[in-house]
Formats: sequence, C-alpha cells, structure tokens
Amino acid sequence: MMTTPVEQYVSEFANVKANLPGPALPWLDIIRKQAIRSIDRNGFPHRRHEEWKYTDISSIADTFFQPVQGTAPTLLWKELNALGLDFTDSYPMIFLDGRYTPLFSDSLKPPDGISIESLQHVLTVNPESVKKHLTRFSETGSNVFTDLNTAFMNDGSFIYLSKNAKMTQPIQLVFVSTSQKEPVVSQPRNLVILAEGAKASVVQRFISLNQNSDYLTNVVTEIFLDQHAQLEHLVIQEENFSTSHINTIRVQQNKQSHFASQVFTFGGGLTRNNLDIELNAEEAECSLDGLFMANGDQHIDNHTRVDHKKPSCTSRELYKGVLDSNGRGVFNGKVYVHPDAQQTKAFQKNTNLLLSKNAEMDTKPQLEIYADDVSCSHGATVGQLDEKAVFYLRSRGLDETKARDLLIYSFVEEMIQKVRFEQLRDQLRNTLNVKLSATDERKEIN
Amino acid sequence: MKIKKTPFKLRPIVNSERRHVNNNRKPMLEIQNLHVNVEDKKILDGLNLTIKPGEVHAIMGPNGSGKSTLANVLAGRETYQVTHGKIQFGGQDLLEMSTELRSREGVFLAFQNPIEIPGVNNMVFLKAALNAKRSHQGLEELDAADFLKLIRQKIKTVKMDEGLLHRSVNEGFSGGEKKRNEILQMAILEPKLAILDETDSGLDVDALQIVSEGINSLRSPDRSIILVTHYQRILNYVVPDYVHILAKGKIIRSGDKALALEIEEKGYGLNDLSQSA
Ligand SMILES: Nc1ncnc2c1ncn2[C@@H]1O[C@H](COP(=O)(O)OP(=O)(O)O)[C@@H](O)[C@H]1O
Ligand SMILES: [Mg+2]
Repeated sequence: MMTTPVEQYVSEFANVKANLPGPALPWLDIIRKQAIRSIDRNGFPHRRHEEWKYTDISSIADTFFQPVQGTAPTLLWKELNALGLDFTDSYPMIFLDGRYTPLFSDSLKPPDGISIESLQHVLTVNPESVKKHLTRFSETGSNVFTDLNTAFMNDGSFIYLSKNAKMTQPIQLVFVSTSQKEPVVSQPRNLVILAEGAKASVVQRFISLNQNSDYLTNVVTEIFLDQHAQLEHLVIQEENFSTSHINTIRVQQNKQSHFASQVFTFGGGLTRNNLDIELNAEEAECSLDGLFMANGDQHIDNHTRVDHKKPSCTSRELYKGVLDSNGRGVFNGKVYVHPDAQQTKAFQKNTNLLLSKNAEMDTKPQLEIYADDVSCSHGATVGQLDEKAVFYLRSRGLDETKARDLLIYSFVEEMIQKVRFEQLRDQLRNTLNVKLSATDERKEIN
Repeated sequence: MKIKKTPFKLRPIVNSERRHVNNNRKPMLEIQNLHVNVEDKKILDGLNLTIKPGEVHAIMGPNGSGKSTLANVLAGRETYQVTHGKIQFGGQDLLEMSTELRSREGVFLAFQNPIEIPGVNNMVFLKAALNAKRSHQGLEELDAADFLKLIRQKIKTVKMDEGLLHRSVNEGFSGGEKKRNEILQMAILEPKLAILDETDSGLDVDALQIVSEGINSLRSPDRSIILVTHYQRILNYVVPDYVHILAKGKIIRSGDKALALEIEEKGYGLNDLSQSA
C-alpha cells in the first residue's frame, strides 16, 4: 500500500530524531513530538479551510519533501559571488538549504551585548538561552507548516540584543537553496529577541542557486520585542519559479515597542507569507508593508493578522500587488481589536494592479472590532493601468512598453522608497527591472 | 451659458505670421473626409482641413461638437474609431502611425485636461520624452546635466516654477500650472504640428499672456499650429491665419480672425446647438 506524505514525515521523524540538534534536551524532545503528532492528526489543510480558501497547496501536500539535515557543506566564494549579493555595511549570515555555513565567521563579530549565532550551534552548546522563547509563540496544531518546521528543526539563526543594545548594520540572513534532484524541504528557524530599548534590523533573503530545482522552503521566525525595542524586518524572496515557499513570522510586542515589516515577494512558484503580530501592551506600534509581483504561473498569498490586545496601540498596513500573465495574488489581512484595546489606531490598505486579463487577485481585508473607542479603516482596490496615462506618455514619444513600465514603477516605487538601506533599494530595483523586462520580452514574442 | 467678457489689455502684436506662410509648399496636414465614431456614436462626419507649414489655424465650435475628438484622433487615441477618411502628415499616412511614432515625427497635442500621473517624476518624464525623440532622429541622448541646462532655459519661457519639475507629472498642479507644463513639453519637443486643445481655458489674463508668448515663440515657417478654442480671447495674442467653425461633425465655415469676432458677437448661429455653446 502507498504511504502518504504525512506517514512518510512521521516515519522519517522516528528515523532521524536522535540526530536532530539537542537530542538530550527533554523540553525540546517534548515539543518536537507534539509537533509531529499534530501533523499526523491534522494533515495538510484543504481549500475548504477558510485560511486556505484561495491557495491550493495540494502540490505540497501530495509530495514528500525530504527534510534537510546535518550541517552545510561550505559554499565557495565564487558561487556566492555569482549571486551578486551586496553585503556592504551589513552583517551577513549564509545558509545553505537552511543550514548555516560559516563563511564570514572569522571576520565578523557583533558588538557587545549582541549575539548572532546559528541555532544549531546554540542548541548544542547553550540551549538554555533559547529555551524560554523557542516555539513559545507557535503553539502546535495551529499551522501544519509550523509544526513541520518545529518537528524537524535543525538550524537557523538566533539573534539576541540585550538591554539598550543597538545594531546599526542590518543583519542579513541569506537563505540559498542549492540544486537538488529529489524534492527537499529546507526549514530554517529563526529566533529574534530584543530586550528593552534594543534596536536592530534583520533582512531575510531567499535565493536559488539553480533555476529549475524543485524544493520547498518552510521558514519560521519568532520575534519578541520588549519595551521600547525597535526592529525593522525585511523579507526579500527571489526563489525560482518551480519552488514552493512558506514563510511564517510571528511577533510579540511589549509596551511602546516598534516593529516595521517589509515583505517583498518576487520569486517562488507558490508562496504563502504568514505574518502574525500581537500587540500585547500599551502604545506598541507596528507597520506592515508588502510588495508582491506575480507573473508566469506564480501564486503569491499574503496573510497578515494584527491582534490589538491592549489600549493605545497603532498598526498601519499597506500591501501592493502587481499581477501579470497568469499570476495570482491573495491578500488576507485581519485586524482584530480585542475588548481591552481602547484607543486603537488601525489602518489597512491593499491595492493591486492587474496587467493581464488572465491575472487574478483575491483580496480580503478584515476588521474585527470589540472595543468602542477606536479609529480604524481598511480598504482594497484592484485596478488596471490607467489607459489615459499610458496614452499621455505615448503621446510624448515613449513607446508603449516604456510607458507601461514607467507606470508600474510609479506604483511600486512607494514601497521601495520605504526601505532604509540604499544597497537593498538598489538590489530591489534591479530585481524589478529584470522581472519587468522578462515580462516585456515574453509579450513581444507572443 | 453666458460668456463673461473680462476686460483685458491688448498687447501690441507683431503681425509676423503671414510672413511665415508660403503657399507653394506642400501641406503639413491634410485631412480628407474624416468620419469618427466614439462608442458607435458618430462625432465627426466628413471633416476636411488642410494646413500648410507656418500656418496657425483656430478651430472654434460649440461644446461637444468634436474639437477634442479631432485633436485626439490626430494624436492617435485608439478609443476614437476612424471609420472613413484619410489623414496625411508631411506626406505620410498618419493613421498608420502609432501614437509614439507620431510624437517622434513631430505631432504634439496639448491636452484639454492634462492627466495627473502620481509617482512619475516630471523631470524624468520630460527627459525620457525628449530622448525618445532624439534617438528616433539618430541624435545622441542628452545626459542629465545637458538636459538640466536645456530645461532651465525652456522653463523660463513659460515662467513655470522649477519646483514643479521635481513633482509627479501634473499631480496637484493648478489648472494654469498644468497648461504651462503642456507648453513646456511643447517647447522641449519642438514639434512640427502642435494641436492646442483649449489651452486657454481656465487661464487668467496673466497666465494667458505667458502661455500665448510661449506659443508665439514657437511660431516658425516650419511649424503649424492648430488652436482649438472656445473664446476669441486668445486669438488677440496668437493671431491665426484661418478660423474654422466646427459643428455637426464638419467644418461649416472658414474665414480669418474677423470670423472669430463675429462668433463672439453673434454666437454660432446654430439653433440646435447654440444652447450648449
Ligand atoms: N470617451 C468618450 N466616450 C463617450 N463619448 C465621448 C467621449 N469623448 C467624447 N465623447 C462625445 O463626443 C462628442 C464630442 O466630444 P468632444 O470632442 O470632446 O467635443 P468638444 O471638444 O468639441 O467639446 C460629445 O458628444 C461627447 O460627449
Ligand atoms: Mg474639448
């Protein structure tokens, strides 16, 4: 009889669990076992599930992706250089299929009060430092992908800033997927803790070494911000179009902390980004910005949720989508204002540009308010390029492609402007250029 | 609607335009029996018009008579369907040319209502427009420094605030600023055929004078201008060689500047259409 992928994950877990990091840690053992049991019990969600209504993950559910284990081979400098990454003024950490590769280890050392480590290393030498927070915000059973990550958790990053510590350079976590013949799942796990008054920027980048490999990235990040802490968090995803990508970020914010998220999705065949933020104390603030561009047969789903649990917190959200060819986009943004959360300010907006008649966008902004003294707004639009504007530009001599590209840039540039780091803005513009010109060329052929 | 006659000072006009006209030259623009539909509604119904290099033609007519339709057809707007007729531009079949090609070959439409384009920087746009034309002509593209020099010089002629160059195209511009921005674009692109669609509407006297000076400074033996207007007011500043009345989809009368004055006095004399004028 055929075994299902879920059964395969369960038996794979039994086979490898002794080799996973921290096998002698009873607390971790319990968490892993709970997670695998939850997968066994729940399986993968069907589209009947409200949270997965517009995103069909049967291609993931029907395949057993071999979880990547062990430590990473060393990446050659020339391979890394070929990726054209710019690490100027940043603190890089490179991961191969989710495993840390100590490429820069000797030359870099974070300032006092800050530790930036591989999770595997921490689980091996100093597990007490992560025990309190790891998986605390990822209760089993709520998300099968998070459970899968928890069960097989192997490596990732651990970033800790002690009281008032400040990291001025962005910490760049670069997740490189190498080419693989068999379907594999790389599951980086990140834990970011900022103590009171600490300040940092973290960038997650996802790229493929090989343009045709078929793999799953299932990354989970947990973030804790104590009072007055400030974190800027960027995700830039440029994986190849035959991959699937699940990115889950969960954030807990204490009093007067500030979290600014920017999520850029350009790559991946099937992408689901989950961003959950809990504003747990007064005057915490968060801003959620997103830009996604789907062409070819790409499917990009952004799910966000902000829980206003205490009074006087502010959340602001703007997601922009550009959908071309057969691209599909989903936006589901929920703002939940709990009864206690008086004087909440919550603004949410999703605007989308459809560039082809086969492109599709499903957008569902949701506000649930159980407090009475609040200021909230939300809205979504799906539109096309303004043909009058295209004509205006063409009437001044710009060819049609250039006119359209200029208008698309004008739509997305707002999001790029929000990125504080010049080298990242430049890289984003490059990616955008490549993506737009690929689309333009295809149009010329057709 | 009653037209309020604002008193204004007549500036002396150097009546040099006649000098430009050379009647032996080939037409710049030749429109023959033009029929145009908008959403299956007939707007132009057999329009003829010939314009020679150096000439200025004013086109007047009641609201809704099809003046903007004509202007947009000349610029190549695809929502207007040409069902019949021919348009020759400098000997080329204009209707066969794309909008951008028309522009690069020297057709310029100053829009009645210039659109706002948020996020597209005015300067970036102007430079892209000029360089599109230059590369079409086989000229080297201007770099940022040279372009800046040029635009600083041109912007003076329309007395436009330099700050507007650094804003998004027309976004939040006042009516007058939008019109000046159109004239600035014209000054930079130096077209052969300029079609100015009610560029005078909504301008106060000072702005009207500035815009008119901008237009006059572009008059030359090699450039033709179509001035679409409602009021003869601008014709005191930009003196036309011919005045045409467009109504019922055709040019129903042609004459010189005196015709514009007559219309101002007596109206279009079209019982069925004069209500809307
Ligand atoms: N985009 C359009 N869609 C539908 N009708 C239009 C459109 N543009 C113009 N029309 C109609 O065509 C006629 C001529 O309009 P227009 O050329 O703008 O006149 P004018 O510029 O002389 O005032 C009017 O009846 C107007 O309602
Ligand atoms: Mg009009």
